[in-house]
Amino acid sequence: MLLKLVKFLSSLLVTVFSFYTSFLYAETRISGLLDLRAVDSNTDISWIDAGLAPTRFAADDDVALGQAVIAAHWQISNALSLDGVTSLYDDAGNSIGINELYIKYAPAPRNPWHIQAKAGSFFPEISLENTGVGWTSRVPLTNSAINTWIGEEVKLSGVQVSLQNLGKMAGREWDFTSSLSLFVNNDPTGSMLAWRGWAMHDRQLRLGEEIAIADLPTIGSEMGFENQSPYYDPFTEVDDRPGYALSMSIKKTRGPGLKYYRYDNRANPVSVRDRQYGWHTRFDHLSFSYPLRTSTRVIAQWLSGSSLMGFKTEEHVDIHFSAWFLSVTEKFTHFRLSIRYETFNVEDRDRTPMDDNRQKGDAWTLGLRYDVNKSFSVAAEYIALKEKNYARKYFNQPIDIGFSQSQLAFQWRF
Amino acid sequence: MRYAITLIFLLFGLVNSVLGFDVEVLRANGKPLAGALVSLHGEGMVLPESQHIELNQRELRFDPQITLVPLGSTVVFTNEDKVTHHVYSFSKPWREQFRLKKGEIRNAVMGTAGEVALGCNIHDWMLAYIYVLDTSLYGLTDEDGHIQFSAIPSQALTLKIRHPRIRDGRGAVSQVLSTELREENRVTIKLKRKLLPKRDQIPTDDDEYLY
Repeated sequence: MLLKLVKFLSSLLVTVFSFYTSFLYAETRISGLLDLRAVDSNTDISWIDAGLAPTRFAADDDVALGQAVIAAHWQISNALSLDGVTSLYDDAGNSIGINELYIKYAPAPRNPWHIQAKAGSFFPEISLENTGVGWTSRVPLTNSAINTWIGEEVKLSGVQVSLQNLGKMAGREWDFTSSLSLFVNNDPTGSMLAWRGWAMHDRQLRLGEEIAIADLPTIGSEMGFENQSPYYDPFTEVDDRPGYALSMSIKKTRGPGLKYYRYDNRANPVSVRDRQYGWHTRFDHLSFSYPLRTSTRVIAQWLSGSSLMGFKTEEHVDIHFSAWFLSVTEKFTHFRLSIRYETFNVEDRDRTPMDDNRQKGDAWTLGLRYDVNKSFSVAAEYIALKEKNYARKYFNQPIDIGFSQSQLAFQWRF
Repeated sequence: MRYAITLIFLLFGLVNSVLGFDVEVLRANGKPLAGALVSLHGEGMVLPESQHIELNQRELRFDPQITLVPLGSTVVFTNEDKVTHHVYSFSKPWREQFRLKKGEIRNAVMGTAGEVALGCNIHDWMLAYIYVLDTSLYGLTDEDGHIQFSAIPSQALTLKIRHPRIRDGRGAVSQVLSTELREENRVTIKLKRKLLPKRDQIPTDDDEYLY
């Protein structure tokens, strides 16, 4: 781990230096998070090691590198900036990767209609939890099932234009925002929900990163999905058809906010390229935030969608998936306390043999963070998760199981 | 705060000034509105000398949030934070935008009277107001919604009430000072519409910014 860290930091220094010299006159800001964990988990093989467990850590993990994220921001001109996020993980896959990289055009508003644009690879603006540096969560450590999935499989590589009506600057109480994105390189999205189900962790998949899929009977098999690689890469283009996403939101000044988000990757479900299938995945998402008091914040997200892969007449996957969570965070002077409840479900609508995609579960998460000072924090978290994951039967494991996971994190923000 | 207790008035060369004029501002629910700007406007009024007035960016907020500025005065923007701010305004009296790095200072002359709403293009919650005044008769109401002008000239005058949370008349209420009102030496202005939500500058997420 230490060696990787040194390698990471040195390559990062080179990157930062080369970027810095190329934007010598531009304004630069580097921020980051280093998070070391002590873990106690009773789950079996984690999904990241090709298991079916929805957590990132398993029973044999005790200490881990939780997060090592560096975010760089280069302000090229008043309106134009370049943002990049790189991270190191000591678990499966390549150790260093790019989480996000995009150019942003954000001129100062000249009237109440504020236009902004982004181009590059970036997360859809869905999560209300991942507001920390490099799309990490502030409290708790582990993302909800919805945002875990966004961090794994949903990334837009393309352009996004958003238009905001700044009501608060014009003596009104509501701000309206809408956005439209066109993107590529997100065609296999949906595979994880079908072949593993919803998960709960804080491990993002980076651009070009490949993850081993559980050894299910249909993967790479003549009786199932012969062309599927045992390694899964969600950020590839399979059919050269761009997808779209759109959002609409309203927010009251210092009051509630409501946002609708629609995603459709428009993938051709019968296309295959480089042993990755096109999965036609679309979903609707609603998020709600409400500041009960200055120190209390209630957030909720709901997602419902479907994914289709393969010819309907032959072996194919047709799933419907949904999840929601409700979370309350209370901020004290040095503490943040958060409690979250969520449920998640994957419904299998095809009759492909030996490919049972059903999953149903719920979880409670309790998180606490103590800020020693502006830079150092200690965070603790407990998760109790119960689920029925029908794919476990292919490994002679009980379908119905309960997990618990405790984590203690030492965090340094800079 | 110093504006809340400062009441600027000038004795004009004109003779017939009325002694003591009291203005009370009430919200639609009958409760007093504190911190409302009350000003008296008329032809050819002598303006106070232009000044340099500080408006800081401190702990990811504009401080103070409300600044009263005589016409032609200079507002001195100082960024006391460790991060860059991108100050902008698209209000008619002052359309401007500039970035301020940590420790940087920028002067801006306010040459047109009216309300200037300020925002930060980086920190969405930052919000402040500059009131550029073409009169020397102005002040903010106290906790009881009152303000007293010790002397007002006898010429034709219009009373103006402004506050970032007022909905009536898009943030400004005017009333001509009639002879009757002058004789009574007092006027109560009751707003018709509920106030807009509080305009406090509360960071949505503050721990990314090491100030």
